[in-house]
Amino acid sequence: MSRQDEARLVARAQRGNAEAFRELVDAYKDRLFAFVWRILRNHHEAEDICQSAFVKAYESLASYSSEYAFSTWLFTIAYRLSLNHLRKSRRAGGEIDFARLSDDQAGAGEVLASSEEARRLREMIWQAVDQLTPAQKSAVLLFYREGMSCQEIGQVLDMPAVTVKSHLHRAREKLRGLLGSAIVQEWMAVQWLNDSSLH
Amino acid sequence: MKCSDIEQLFDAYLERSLSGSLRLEFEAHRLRCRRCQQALAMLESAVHVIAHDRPEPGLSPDFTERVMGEIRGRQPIWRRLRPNPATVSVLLLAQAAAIAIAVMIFSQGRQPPSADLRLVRDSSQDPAAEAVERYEQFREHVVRVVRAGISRALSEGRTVRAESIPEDLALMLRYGYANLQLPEALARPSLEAASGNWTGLLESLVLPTAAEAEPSDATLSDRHSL
Repeated sequence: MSRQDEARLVARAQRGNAEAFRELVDAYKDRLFAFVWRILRNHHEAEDICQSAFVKAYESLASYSSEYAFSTWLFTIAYRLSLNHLRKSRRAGGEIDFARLSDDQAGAGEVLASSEEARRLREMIWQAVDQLTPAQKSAVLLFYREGMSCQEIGQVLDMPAVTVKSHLHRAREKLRGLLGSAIVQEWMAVQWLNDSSLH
Repeated sequence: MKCSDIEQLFDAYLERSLSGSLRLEFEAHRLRCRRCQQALAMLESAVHVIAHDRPEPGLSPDFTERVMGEIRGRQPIWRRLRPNPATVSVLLLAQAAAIAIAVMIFSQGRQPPSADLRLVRDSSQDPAAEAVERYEQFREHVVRVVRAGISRALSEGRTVRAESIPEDLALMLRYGYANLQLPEALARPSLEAASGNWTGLLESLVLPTAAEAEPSDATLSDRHSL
């Protein structure tokens, strides 16, 4: 959705047009859910948080400023709700409840990698990502998945852009440490970058 | 450049902020150094998976409906029915009529309702009187909103739909009662009135007579000529 279309829908929603807001929900729900799910690693909790985020966004539309992208504002709300939820459930340290994780995988999305090696490597990458702190994980997801700038990420995470860069750096260092120790040779053998099953 | 220098540039390279001669040197080293090739390939692959892989489960198909349902549920009743202002106005007016009838029925005998209400208002210790007074304030507010809505609707040339009013009216009455905690004894006659012949009541309300001036709140409270 272009910024112009988004701005038009937001303006209509601010005037009380619920159908305009419905279009915004449909435009962003999948991306928002993917982000929240990666933080919480629980399907139902992630859906609840996303639902709360959209409702809160609707109720707070009067305070939204078009200076920021609507998606940035929406992700900000969702991130804060996710953090609050993590604090309550005492999983802010990035611990993974593997029992719940295995239950959640029952509804997992498509497997993109067709080869066994690529599938295994993909799982290792996501397991490594899951060991990042919420701030590091969020910075990585927002930067590489959502294509946000460090400044936009700073708005979402409520921190300066330089701190976002620091989180990205630490996240990459951690990923390198977690992944590099086990499978350095295997990377080159699989020629991961040329794996067309990811496209 | 040494490997340690190249490693310092990994972040800038992965953040796509490396350019110019520095980038050329970086790429040249990468071509020559297997160790840096492997390290960077691993990070690039991780970044690629993070950016493009979709391992998360799908959202429930009814997610949007649940969001919109919760939004609608949190809105005041008058706003939920906003799409047709004329219908909303008539519904609210009908509700006001039913409420006034309930008060009339519940008050003692056929005495002038205004007199009963004044008596009830004076009985400030009576919880039922307090409930009636709250309901009266609510009704006055409703009538004000409805009159404004009717005027606007008529000036816009809108027509009034009436076929779905009984069910909606009952719903609104229940909503009103839920918010005002009206005693059951007062609530029941209103629901019965809602299912009765309200059309005549609406007609008398929508077209005020020429003799009636624009009423003040006190006048509205005391008339009860519905």
